Amino acid sequence: MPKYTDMYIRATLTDPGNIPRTNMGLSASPDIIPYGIMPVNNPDQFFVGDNFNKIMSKDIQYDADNYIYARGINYAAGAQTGQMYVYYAPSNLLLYPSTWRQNVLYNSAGDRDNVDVAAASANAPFAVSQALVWRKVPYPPPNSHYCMISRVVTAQNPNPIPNTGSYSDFATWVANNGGIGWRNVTVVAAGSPEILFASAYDQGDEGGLMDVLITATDAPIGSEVWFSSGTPLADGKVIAIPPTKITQSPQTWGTQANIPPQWRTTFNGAYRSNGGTPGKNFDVSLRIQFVPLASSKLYLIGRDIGDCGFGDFHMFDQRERHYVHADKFFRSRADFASGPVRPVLLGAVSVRGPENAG
Amino acid sequence: MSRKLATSQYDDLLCRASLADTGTIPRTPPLEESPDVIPVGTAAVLDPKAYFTGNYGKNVAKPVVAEEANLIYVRGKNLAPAVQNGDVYVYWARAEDLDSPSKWQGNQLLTVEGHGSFRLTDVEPGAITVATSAFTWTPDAALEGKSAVLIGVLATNDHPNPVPTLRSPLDFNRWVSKQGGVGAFKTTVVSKPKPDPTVTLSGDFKLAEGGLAEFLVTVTDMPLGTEVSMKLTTPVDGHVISIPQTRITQNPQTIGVSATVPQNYTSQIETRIAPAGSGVPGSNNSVVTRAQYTPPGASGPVRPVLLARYSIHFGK
Repeated sequence: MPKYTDMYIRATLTDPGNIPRTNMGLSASPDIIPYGIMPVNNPDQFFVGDNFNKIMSKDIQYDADNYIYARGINYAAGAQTGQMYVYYAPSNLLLYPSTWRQNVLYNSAGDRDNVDVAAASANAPFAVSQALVWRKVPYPPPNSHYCMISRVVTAQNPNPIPNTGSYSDFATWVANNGGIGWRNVTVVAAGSPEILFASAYDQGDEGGLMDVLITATDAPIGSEVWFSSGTPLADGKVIAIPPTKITQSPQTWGTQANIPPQWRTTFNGAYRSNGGTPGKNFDVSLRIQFVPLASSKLYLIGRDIGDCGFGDFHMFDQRERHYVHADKFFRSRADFASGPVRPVLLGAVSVRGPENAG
Repeated sequence: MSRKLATSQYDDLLCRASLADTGTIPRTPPLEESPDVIPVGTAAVLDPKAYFTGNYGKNVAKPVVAEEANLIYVRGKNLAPAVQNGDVYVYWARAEDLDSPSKWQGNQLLTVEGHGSFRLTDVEPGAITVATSAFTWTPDAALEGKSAVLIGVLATNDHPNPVPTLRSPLDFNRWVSKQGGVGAFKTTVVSKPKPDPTVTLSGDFKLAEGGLAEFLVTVTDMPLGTEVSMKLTTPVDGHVISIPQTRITQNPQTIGVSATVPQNYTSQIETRIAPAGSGVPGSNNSVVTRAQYTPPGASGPVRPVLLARYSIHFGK
């Protein structure tokens, strides 16, 4: 059997790359990687190297935004580039590509339905440099489950999906196409958020060091909030706060990021009550702010941090890898050794109510 | 020929039957309007001693709400010529059960600290005394709209005022009229207020150039009958740009408004969503608010520039 000669998506960890693929399961590709509700930094490094020969996928969280990654190995003779697409399909519709080809996933910014992939040399593993997002994942139909399909398109092998008709045998199609991956996935319902909200974000012409914060007001103690964006920054890192328990009201959790000009994404915020009941002034807000140095002319248009409604405010310290109190965080910068910290609010999206919702 | 009842003056800790009650026994109707057995809602009184002493001449009771932890304070006045001590007990009864104490004697309320009684000590003659720990009662939903009676008992060594368990049926009012240390307050249990299901999605909008902008709200997979409105919080020439409250009748449905805004215009876009009372949002539900702008003078196909996009999804 001939070996595939292009960017290849493995059917198993021991798949040797021959076409047609034989004597192996086809529906559990390790190269389609649902990775839960939090994106990862530098996925094009994280999912290759030591992790390339590991199953990395996680269960998919029902009714939440899930980050999906894809990878493969380059069996072309030299460096190769392509575009990676990922689709989902209920198992009962798998034979009808004209229906599931509409279920293509988009990146976090929502402006592309694929991610460029590149392999530097022959036999080099490759992975997407950013996630594709499966938004508010529905529960699969009764007596069904979801399948995910990845597809790498290169100039030599576009691996098209038919516009119409059906496959008589989906497995045979996968076996004969080295640029196609197939993975059956499990959707779990426990811990789904009650509210998902999202905001498009465009950094504009001027980059800078930004704080991205989530504030919960009048949320029940023990509830959780989180936010994420799968769009990488210049250093390949992503902006996210994982599910974090609320212990006071109001309470704010934030992280800092150096956002380049023209950077665009969609920030996803989420809240789950964990059984608690919010109060009448329930509010979850996602904010982006800039903290000018005291020497900056923007300093005067900022607002005293104590008047911003942040309450108990923690920032994630990237060097220490844990949260520190915001006052300590900002004052660790020499410029704020004295005088108030005065953030300038650049953007916000908030959800208020419903009153006393469980 | 009418026969005049013999009367006497109660000489112990008095729990009034009504505001007119000065301690003459037997007390006369109304007998179920005690101003001294006082439901106050769910919020504790900051300084109950000062508050309930200061308003002794008034009935300050608030409605009792079903399915909420209502707080009940009790006060009294020492009509004895000497310092007095006593214990406060509180019961609740359905109005129709008052004459059958066996049906309500088990309905004894506990204080917020979990005690069955509150001790009153060293009450000076003529002084007003207050059980400063509230008793708590959470009526179940079945009592909504029903009459219930709160019964406060100020028990002293001289007048223990025991609930007459052995005499049934009891003429409750006759019993209360003779017990100066017992106050009854009849009320109707009201429904718990329905929480407001409205959700407001709020985000920023800026248009430095100024011009004609479009604001669109698309509602998908929400129950028909859901009501949606939108407004920009910054008025333009005194007018608020808004979409009035609109009932959703299709799926999906988009409502919109266009308006010219001045240069350097900034505002919040607030989208209010009141999900229909019946029906559950579908699994693909969303409410998406978009603001877009078509730069003037562009040729070729109209390609609006997206200025803002906010969305919300309701989980199960």
